Amino acid sequence: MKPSKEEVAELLRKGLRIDGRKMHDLRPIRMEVGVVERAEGSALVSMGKTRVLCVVRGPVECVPSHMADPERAILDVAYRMATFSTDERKSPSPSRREIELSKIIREALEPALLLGEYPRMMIRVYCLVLQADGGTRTASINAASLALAYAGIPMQDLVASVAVGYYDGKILVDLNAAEDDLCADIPMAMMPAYNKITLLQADHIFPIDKIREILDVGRKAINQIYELQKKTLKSKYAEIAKTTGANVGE
Amino acid sequence: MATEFLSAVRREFLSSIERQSIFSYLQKNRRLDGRGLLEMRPLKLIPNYIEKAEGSCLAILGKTKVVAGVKASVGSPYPDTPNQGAFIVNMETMPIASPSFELGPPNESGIEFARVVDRAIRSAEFIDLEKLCIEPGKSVYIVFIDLYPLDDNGNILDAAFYAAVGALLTTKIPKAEIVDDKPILNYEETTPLPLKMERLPIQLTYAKILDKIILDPTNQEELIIDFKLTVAVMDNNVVGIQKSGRGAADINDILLIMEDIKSKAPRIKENVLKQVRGIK
Repeated sequence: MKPSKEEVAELLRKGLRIDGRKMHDLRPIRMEVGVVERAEGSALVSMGKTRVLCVVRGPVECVPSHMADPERAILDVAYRMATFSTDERKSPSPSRREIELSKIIREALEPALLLGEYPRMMIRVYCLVLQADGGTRTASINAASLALAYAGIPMQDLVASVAVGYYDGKILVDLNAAEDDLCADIPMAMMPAYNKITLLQADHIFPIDKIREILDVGRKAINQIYELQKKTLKSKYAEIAKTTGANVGE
Repeated sequence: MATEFLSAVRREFLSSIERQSIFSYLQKNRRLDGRGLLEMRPLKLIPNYIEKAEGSCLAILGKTKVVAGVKASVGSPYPDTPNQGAFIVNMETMPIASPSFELGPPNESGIEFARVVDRAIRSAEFIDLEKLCIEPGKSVYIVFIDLYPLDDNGNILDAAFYAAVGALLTTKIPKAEIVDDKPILNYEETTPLPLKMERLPIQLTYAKILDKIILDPTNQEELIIDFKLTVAVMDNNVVGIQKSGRGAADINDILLIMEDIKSKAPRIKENVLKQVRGIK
């Protein structure tokens, strides 16, 4: 049974959430890298019921060639939702929302990438939302960042992302779809090591004076995701080292 | 393939002498066009620019021009909001306005700009959608807000926003009459578009170059900025944020921008109303 808006609202007013989380709790997160054999980098990330597969290809020659930038590689990001990822079937042709999100995700990742290392080349990132339950852009960024790192693309930091919500004076973290319908939704992404914000959007309405607190709550949640990303990469490298007999240290 | 939506060929360049001038002025907290860092170019609104449209406005921000036209039609409501009309914001980016634009399917910045304008108006609940219902669950007004950039001298997004708001303020929708069980629009009889005037949003776009935050970037500045942050507010509330560009922001940048828009919004709102409706 899908909870009604009123049920979600009533719980939030009491500081409770439909899935039993506390206001600042993340959903259960699963991260895996190297899940697609035929790609330089790949990652599968679930945040609650939201599940995103991301694949990185390249650096490859820039196609079409007139798009090539003599100073840096072009980052080409496509965010798409599978037709079966939502309650109603989503048309497979890209929506305006998917085109905007592709741009927003690209601009969330670009600050972290050392694209100047590959002039005239192109790095492609494909994010496929397999199941959508809120926070698909943030899960895509978390997955893309892992897949880029796993592909060995030079980066100055990982990018970690979460959506912060605001409802009735309360700030909550990592909105699911039911909460997303009700709350002000503030998706953000950061390069945690530099304390820099690479994505910030807001929808609905919240007081201007709450912005500092919202950014602060978001930053704390992002740091938790960042730690999980690092752990995921390290344990994958250790696993590879075991099978090849190489010594990767800690 | 996402490349098909990228903003076509990079046809705009900044010579190193222009770049150096912008930088050296910024270091003195000045802009190449004589403005201060947090100074907006003059905003001029010409309402009722297109007689054939239900509402229209030409917004001139410095030398940037965007025209907005509003057309109304009758359609079915969305299943989850049977008692509400709908509105759709669209932007057509043609090479008329800038060498960076191409004909053909809408490019990603056109789509992004239209969606950012849409979100600010929607989040503020500026249009009274419930009053746009003709027959609950059956027929409602669909309001199209179409934006055409005419001359891109930077910050099309804010010019488009004020063109849209100006056009909505002038919009008169034709009366819907039920003839043979079907709603028909009577253009002889019109009523003003139902708006919640106290919920009029204000939008400003900021950018960072070097370590300076500037307001309302020009097309030259847009070529060398780290990131842009577009913020929409309604009274003391945020009704939209969009970061764009390949750079990253500090938390303090965001806080500075929020303080600045909070202080500027009331005067801009007054200016918009005065120019479009002659309200003091």
